[in-house]
Amino acid sequence: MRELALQELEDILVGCAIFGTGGGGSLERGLQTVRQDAAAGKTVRLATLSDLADATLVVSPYYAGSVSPLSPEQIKAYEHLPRIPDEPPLVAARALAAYLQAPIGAVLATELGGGNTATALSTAAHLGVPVLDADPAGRAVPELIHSTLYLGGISITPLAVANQFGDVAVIQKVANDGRAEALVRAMAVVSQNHVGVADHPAPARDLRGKVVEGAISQAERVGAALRRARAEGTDPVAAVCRAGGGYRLFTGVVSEAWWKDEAGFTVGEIGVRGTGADTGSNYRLRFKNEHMVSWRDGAIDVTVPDLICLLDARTGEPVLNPAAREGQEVAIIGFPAPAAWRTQKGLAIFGPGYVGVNRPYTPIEEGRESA
Amino acid sequence: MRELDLRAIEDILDGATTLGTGGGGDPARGLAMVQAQLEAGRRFIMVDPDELDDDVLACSPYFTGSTAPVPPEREARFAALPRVTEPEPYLAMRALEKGLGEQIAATVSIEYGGMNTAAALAVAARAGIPVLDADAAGRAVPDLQFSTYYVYGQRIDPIGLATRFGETMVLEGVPDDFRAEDIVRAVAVASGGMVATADHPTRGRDLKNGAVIKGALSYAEKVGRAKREAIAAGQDPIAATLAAGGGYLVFEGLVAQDPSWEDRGGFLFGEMNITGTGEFLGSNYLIWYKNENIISWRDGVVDITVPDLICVLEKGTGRPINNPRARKGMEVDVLAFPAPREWRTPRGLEILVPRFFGFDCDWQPVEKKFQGR
Repeated sequence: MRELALQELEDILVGCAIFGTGGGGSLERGLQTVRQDAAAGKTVRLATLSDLADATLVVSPYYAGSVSPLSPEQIKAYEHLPRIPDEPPLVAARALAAYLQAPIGAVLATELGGGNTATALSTAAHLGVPVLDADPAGRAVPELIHSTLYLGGISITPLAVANQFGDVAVIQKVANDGRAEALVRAMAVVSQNHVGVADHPAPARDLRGKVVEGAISQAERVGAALRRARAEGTDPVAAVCRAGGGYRLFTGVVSEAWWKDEAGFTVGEIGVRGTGADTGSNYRLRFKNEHMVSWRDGAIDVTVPDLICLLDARTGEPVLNPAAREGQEVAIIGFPAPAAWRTQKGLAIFGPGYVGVNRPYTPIEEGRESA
Repeated sequence: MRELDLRAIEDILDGATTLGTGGGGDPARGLAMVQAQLEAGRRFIMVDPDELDDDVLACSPYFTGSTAPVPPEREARFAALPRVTEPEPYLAMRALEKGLGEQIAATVSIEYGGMNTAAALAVAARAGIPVLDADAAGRAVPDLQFSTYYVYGQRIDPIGLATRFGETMVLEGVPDDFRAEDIVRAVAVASGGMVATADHPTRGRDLKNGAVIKGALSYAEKVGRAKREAIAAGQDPIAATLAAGGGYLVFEGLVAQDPSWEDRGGFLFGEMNITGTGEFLGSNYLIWYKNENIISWRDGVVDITVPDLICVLEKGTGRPINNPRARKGMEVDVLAFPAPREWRTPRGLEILVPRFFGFDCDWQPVEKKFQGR
């Protein structure tokens, strides 16, 4: 167990934003959150699963909801309501602890992402408990069931949902995880599309082998490598690839970018025209919140569950969806998915078939040399 | 304390449906829910609120949602999910108990209606606890805040919720009943249009002191019994209903067309048009409903409004017409009953009035209108 300094927290979030593969929430807001917490004297400790006693209760706090803008009518409907001072995921975590009549002993990030991992760090800081050096995805993912906890049979319930008006719901039991998502969304619909959730409560012993251990420190290594490369003036993209065991897939200029809101997901494509070694080639990414599949010169290159990351070629900073702009110089890099996603069960829910790609999964490392 | 037999229950439910102002849920489903408990050998005990200890806790278990038929394509989304065999409001009450960490000692009908009054009866029987001789509306009402609990100042939460897929949750911390309404309605919409609710956990002392309408189930039973006895004696059930309930015959005629309605935001909105017959020949009548009948016009002039009761019964049989199930050519009588006095208090008239539903008029007591008629 170690206490994380602000620099380390920021490195973690930058790394998480890279592993967020275009999604995972706003890095800018995430950084703001941990800076505010640090300024308020809040500290976060990072614990490994083996640091925790078997019975320690672990929960995953996060924000849920759609990013669709509100109509003036909706804004007016919420105007008269009171606001609570605490962040909804923290309120949800406390409500879940009260319902379970057990104190929360540690927090698990729900995925790696500049915003969502920050929520876990901040909730842990406010609860005064450690955050686990692990996550249930090893990346950011578009749906609740895309979780190693789901694959491992850890129940999503009881789960608590809270909003900024003080309404709190504890969902005791659901027919399946999809219904949990539907009920959380129902609450979000009447909460300005913005709710905090705390789910997957489990004793630490049940999590062994069911989370991606070391995920947070891996993100920290990548974030720190990027920071150092920029300070030293060396190639930031190469540094990120080296630190994370990834591959440089393409370098070029964004030639096309479009997106739309589809049933609450941000769906779109980014086209890139090759430069340097990739001159004469083109690359295409398709995303559903996160990058799902890529093509090089029309042939499929990488698919989920492997990670496809879009970075600014000069700064090495991750480009979050849907922020890519025509003319932007970018580098596309990839990382192998955690082992849990490469099992038959993992690929059944989050393999190429999830995005309608009708071919068997080919691991990213096949036919490539690592950086 | 009194044990209710099937006949007493049927009278209560028929009276509650009659006074249910077109809503309150499907009476066939309500009766089936009660019969399942009778077949399981469970007993129905009704007690007066004054018989309760001050410190015991009661709640209202019922269904929230639109009474509109569910389109098959929407239903298909839920096809793969399991279905519960227990009454859902019972599961909602159990969820509430779990959230409270305390047992519920009695149930209270949330509103008059074939399904929601039956829910209070069936849940009580299932749990082996009594149902109170009381109701929290004295009519049926579309939104959660329309209850005598609200008028009295009793908190609505924590609220237990259960879907027909066996899912349960507890909601609390809502700033007011209107927020509870928004959230519960959203859960209903996400669950195929309906969700079972167990809300207003209330102490005995408050139930005795005005949180609910005392004697309301006996009153519904009186109306149902009068109607049944009239039919058996070959007399007019409508006249018997009016006499037993203290109501007014405000119109009679033929349903002019199949009603137009829509299912919007978890509510059923619609209208019923009636062409006058008999002494009403040459007149027409229009009723607007949001789940329940809210306001009516005779020849374009506002006639009856909430909180007073507008009840449509089939001529001859006295069968209550549930929205939106009127059909063109049905012979109907429109009855009005004065709202219970709880709705006629300043706090009651803050909420259950035509203006809440967007109509630019004020409530006039039905009995004033009919003075000398």
